[in-house]
Amino acid sequence: MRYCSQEVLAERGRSVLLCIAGAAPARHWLDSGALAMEYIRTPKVENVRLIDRVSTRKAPLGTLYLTATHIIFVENASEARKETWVLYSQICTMEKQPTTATGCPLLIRCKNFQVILFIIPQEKDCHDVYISLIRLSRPEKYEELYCFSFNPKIDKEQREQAWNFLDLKAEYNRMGVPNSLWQLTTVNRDYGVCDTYPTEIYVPKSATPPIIVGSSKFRSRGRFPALSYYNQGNHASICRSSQPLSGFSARCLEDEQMLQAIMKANPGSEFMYVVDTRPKLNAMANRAAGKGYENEDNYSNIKFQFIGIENIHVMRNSLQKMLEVCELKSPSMGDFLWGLENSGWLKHIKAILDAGIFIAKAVAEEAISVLVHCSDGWDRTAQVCSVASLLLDPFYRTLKGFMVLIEKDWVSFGHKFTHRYNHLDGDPKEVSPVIDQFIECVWQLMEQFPCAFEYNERFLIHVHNHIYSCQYGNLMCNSQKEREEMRIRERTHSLWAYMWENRVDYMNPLYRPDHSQTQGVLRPITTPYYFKFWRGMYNRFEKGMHPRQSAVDFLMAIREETQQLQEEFEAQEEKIAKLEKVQMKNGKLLPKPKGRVKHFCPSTSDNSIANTPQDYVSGSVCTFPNESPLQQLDMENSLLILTKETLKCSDPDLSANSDQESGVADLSCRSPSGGDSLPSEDSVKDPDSDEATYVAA
Amino acid sequence: MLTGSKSSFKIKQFAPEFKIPEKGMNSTNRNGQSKELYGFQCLPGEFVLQRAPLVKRQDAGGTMLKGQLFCTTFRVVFVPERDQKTEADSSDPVFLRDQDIVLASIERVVAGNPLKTKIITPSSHLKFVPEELIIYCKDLRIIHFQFERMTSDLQAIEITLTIARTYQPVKPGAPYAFQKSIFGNSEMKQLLSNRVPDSLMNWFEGSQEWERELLRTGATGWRVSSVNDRFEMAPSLQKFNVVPKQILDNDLKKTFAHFSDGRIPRWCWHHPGGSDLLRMATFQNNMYHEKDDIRHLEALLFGCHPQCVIVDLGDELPTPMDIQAAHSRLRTLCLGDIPALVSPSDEKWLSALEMTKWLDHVRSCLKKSIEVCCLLSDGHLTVILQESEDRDLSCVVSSLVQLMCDPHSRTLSGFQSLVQKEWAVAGHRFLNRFNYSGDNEKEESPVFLLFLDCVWQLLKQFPSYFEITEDYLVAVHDSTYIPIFNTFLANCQRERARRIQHTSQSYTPVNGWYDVVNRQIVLSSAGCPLPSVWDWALQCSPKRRAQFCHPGYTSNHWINRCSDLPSFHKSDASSSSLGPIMMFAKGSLTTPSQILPWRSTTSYRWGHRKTSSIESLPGLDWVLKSYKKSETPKNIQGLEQNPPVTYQCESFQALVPLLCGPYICLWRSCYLRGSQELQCFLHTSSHPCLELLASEVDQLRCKLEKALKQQLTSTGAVENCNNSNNSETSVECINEKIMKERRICTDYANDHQIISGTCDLQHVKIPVHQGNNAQLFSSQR
Repeated sequence: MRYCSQEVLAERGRSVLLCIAGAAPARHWLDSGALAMEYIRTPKVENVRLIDRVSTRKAPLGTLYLTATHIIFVENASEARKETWVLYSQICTMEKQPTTATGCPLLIRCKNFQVILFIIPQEKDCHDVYISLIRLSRPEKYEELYCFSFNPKIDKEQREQAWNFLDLKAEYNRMGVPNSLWQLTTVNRDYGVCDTYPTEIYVPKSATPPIIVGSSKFRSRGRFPALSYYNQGNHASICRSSQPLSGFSARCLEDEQMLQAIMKANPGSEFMYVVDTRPKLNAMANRAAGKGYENEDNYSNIKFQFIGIENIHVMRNSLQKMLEVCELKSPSMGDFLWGLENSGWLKHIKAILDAGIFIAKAVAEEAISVLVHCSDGWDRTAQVCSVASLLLDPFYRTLKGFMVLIEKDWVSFGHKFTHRYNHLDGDPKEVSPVIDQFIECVWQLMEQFPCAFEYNERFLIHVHNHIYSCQYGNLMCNSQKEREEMRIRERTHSLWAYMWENRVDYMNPLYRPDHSQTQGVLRPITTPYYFKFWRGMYNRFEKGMHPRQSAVDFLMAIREETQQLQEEFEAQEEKIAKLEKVQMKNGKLLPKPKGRVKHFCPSTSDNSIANTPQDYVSGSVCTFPNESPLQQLDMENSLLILTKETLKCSDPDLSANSDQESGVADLSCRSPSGGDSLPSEDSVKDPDSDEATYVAA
Repeated sequence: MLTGSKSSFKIKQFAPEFKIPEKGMNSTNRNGQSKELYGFQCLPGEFVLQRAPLVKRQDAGGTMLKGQLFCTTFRVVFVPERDQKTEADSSDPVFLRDQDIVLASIERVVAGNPLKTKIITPSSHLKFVPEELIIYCKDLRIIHFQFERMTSDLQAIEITLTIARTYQPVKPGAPYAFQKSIFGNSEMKQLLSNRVPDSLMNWFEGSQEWERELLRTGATGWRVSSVNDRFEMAPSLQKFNVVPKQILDNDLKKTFAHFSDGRIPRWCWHHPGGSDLLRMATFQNNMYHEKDDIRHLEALLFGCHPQCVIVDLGDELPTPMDIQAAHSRLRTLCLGDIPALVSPSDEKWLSALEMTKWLDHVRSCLKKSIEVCCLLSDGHLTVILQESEDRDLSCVVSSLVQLMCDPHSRTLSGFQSLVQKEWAVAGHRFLNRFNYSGDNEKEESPVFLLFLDCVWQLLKQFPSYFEITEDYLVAVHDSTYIPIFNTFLANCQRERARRIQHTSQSYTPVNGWYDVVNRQIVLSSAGCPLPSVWDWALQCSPKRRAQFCHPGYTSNHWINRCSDLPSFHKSDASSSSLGPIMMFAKGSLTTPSQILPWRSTTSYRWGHRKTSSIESLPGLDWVLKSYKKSETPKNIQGLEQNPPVTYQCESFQALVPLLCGPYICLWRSCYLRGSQELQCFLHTSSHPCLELLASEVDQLRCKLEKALKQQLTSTGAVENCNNSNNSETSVECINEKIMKERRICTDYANDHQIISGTCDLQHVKIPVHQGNNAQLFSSQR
């Protein structure tokens, strides 16, 4: 498993590190970097130990550097110089533990579930590091965030292109809107109606601006019902909003008209669902504050439904409890299972998935439109809408589709990234793993439908990582408006384009777009024992905890290698064809081979052996051409030579694969070599002997 | 052949001694007839008791399959309508078709209609017409049948009652009717005597088979003793025991009395690093120890090494009673409250699973085995597993240790040999532990199933190191509930031998009868040779058997290496420099004074190294210390990469499974098969995709061979063509890759229980030469 931070930082070059290692302060740092440098009390501490919770390897001794953006630990062991990089923005909590004989332990917990324990020899150094990190990990202004200093060295034009990689307008077009029933409204052009909504919002055609504005005044924070997903096939739609300000008896004509309009935009349907994702008790409590939920009596033809997903505070505590289980040193089976169950985490994941299934079912099977809301309509609503979309539409199960989904349901509709993921020093009560849960839902679905998703687990983990890393601007700020004010598009880089470039890493080798399971609506099972603990996420930094056989990694590496080899093979075949031509021309055929060439002439043109995997899929499984039976003698000959070759050629190949971790990486960076680049030594040495064997036979 | 009168609504109560309607049945042409008549083949001595047409069975995938339901004297058979033509008639009568339910493996019969569900016991009467028949099997399958409206009420009632009345013996402890009628049948005897035992397997029944094992593992300094040839020394022990060379049979004879039930320390396996694994029962107390005896006893204990560690299996492992309790809780959890459908309460699934303690037991067995692996890896030790009876958990631990360390035991034949060696021949009380007759609940304990679960955990973590597959393990699991196998219907080799010998009591063992409890069954089936469970052709269709072996597994890389390995020690145990005997318990080595009962009573002095402490074993100490430091076994894995001992051989690195919470999981495809949802979701799972893969591979192999030849002919003709090598090379490389890929695909598919057809992976291509593939995986470690 590669560490994301390392990967990305490689782009920046190692000059940074060298610069600091040379004890020269990095002056030419960007503004924000310079800002950060102020808080660094001590840039370098030596003789620090890094304790790995699960490894018995002797804790490595090394040097700890504080740079503008990262903590870097460089091991002293001369040959490897293993480095551990941790972004400040990933730091979640720090704990200075009581000093021991060996030094002062500093425990750092990261938002991406990495747990690091440094032992710093001097108490003073430890304190300095601690104080520095406290400030560095809790930036107060957006400008201090990593994305404003991150510079992957691409020019302005490329950057803009990268930002245009995803286009939500195109996405709505793909869904089939605007059309005769739905239109784009300009009512929120300057964020006048709702400052947490995007400017471009799709509403039913019959919803006139007065209705929208009226409805928005009756909804918490002005978040009026807007289109999230439109099912072209049967006109059913998923809309989202915040809770109505109904209190105990208030009603609003425009809001009622708005819902009526949504229902009418699904011709043929007689009612619509209004789904409140909160537990009923919570919704009732809100009524006292003048908020609440729709009264079925006031709205014509709605069916109201509570779903019961807990609020962000419950979720935060639940994750905390689960992480405590993960951190147990050697839990017994009972500790683990009880802990996992008591955390309630999987139960919450199930609740979200169940809600998504309810909506997907309503839309796909009943052809009924659904309006989803929670309190403010930016947490649970985003989760549920995106899960439902994912279940409904195979597009969202592709790599690009997933990015679009995040942009649509989370980014554009004002999910509060900054607050929820603690990008800036803020109210800890606002922090909650909302999108984490969505990502886990996707993973649980991937476990049930391994062939239905184009992306793999690594993609999800990397997306998760970037939600916290603050390296790219996409998943920043609390709303579209805020992003515009911060000029995110001009000052930062886009994550999606970067991930798209590296999509090879994120492909699910088992993805089968043409499989019946993949197409159409996913119908997952939500019996409790289908929910697994996601060790790939929560224990991902504990290498000791990873299984020694990761099927997917190997599958991917080998698949790639197969492709390369097939290319080589094709090149070889071309060469052979050429040679044959020359041979024919010269008419210098040896008597025996001549016969053979003749014999196999008809099939020479059939190079189906070199079919690419894609070709293979497109044809049905059994469409191999009928081959003529082989001559026994020929077979023996070929096998004789073959075995000899096997021994020779496969060894270097395998040794390249020897290390599980680097093996995968090795393969992916090995460039596809042309036909000539095969081990030439062997081929120079051996033709004679081979030919000898051959002739002898 | 149908019984029961059609005129009355209630059918007659069957007589206790089940009368088989033999009227005019000609046993010679019966098979052919039944095949024509019913669409399946009756066994010799098997009769159809009842049939019901127009029944539907819920098939994998949730679809309903129409067909006929039969109840015979042996099993419940469902013959789908369209299926009748198929099944190429092989001369081998298959005892069981893949979906058949052996009557004896039925746990409960439930009949239901929309208004009512009722458990049908042999004595119950049906007062309503069932529309649904649900059969709960002991192997945790749940099978649903539906009667169509067209099925006559009478038939529905009759077949339900017939099944309910025949599935258990008339009174607890009585033999099943079929045991006599089928296996007593002369035709069947003939048939079974013609079965050829698998020659690839080592059955450990004769002395040369033990010799073979000594040779295979490269153990020296041991010999096979036939002192227990007539089971006179130790009735529960195997005929042939491997003991140190320097002990003569005469001396050996005197040692039996010092061990409980005469189960002396005897060799079971030689670690390629040099250590030997032994097992024994506890010492017999209150024995007078003569000086000579002590010398021999110690020679036995030390074997061929100057150091000896006794691993106590008592404290940290579950007792058979614990295992039984855990298993029955697990059953309840997985089957749900019969007859209610499976519904582990939503919120409490994990804690309910925890409460069963089953996973804890699995984990503790694996943990203990890992510890023993560590000890063995030291290279110059005799490690002795000691259990009070030496017939339960020492079987589990010794076989797990071998699975972890010995690649041979991960092959199909190797695994079966292992079970023969450590379970069947070594005297695991299969008959009592499985309690087939249902009359001995005190002894009942599925120790063997716990072992299978442990194997599954290993398999799940190291899929490519095993030739056997999950399907195979499930098949073994299921076969333990079918009381027809010689392997499981005996408590020790002696009982098994008696059955084969057709002699009821030709001799009386000196020590008297030990296993009196089961005489009834043993005697009742004496004279009826029973098949071995490993004769898979009898109980599984070729289609199913094809799933037993991992298609990508290659074994040739290691098999011959054993003997090539340098032996690290060739020390003479006879030398006086014996170290202390150490005790391994709770993760640490100690040298308690009371290990050996004779030590306190005798003036015998240890050799001059008596005072040497654990420090004399730096490597071992290190292994154990670091193991203790953090209990998680992965650390050991880390250590294994740089073993403390100089010895290092890649292919013999132990598979050390991770034991932390997330890695020990429930064997869902076995225990949760019954759950309806699972059935439709997963039961078809890996099978079709594996088949598909296999057929693809064959096709592609043909293609590759052809293409290669094509190239050879064309390139070979050209005078100066260096390229030919290249092309072959590339083809070869592709093959290699493909092979690997295919293996991984199947692993992955198995892992994810991919639904039918999903795994016809596009990139799976042609394996031709498998030689070096295994290295890929061994090199990962």
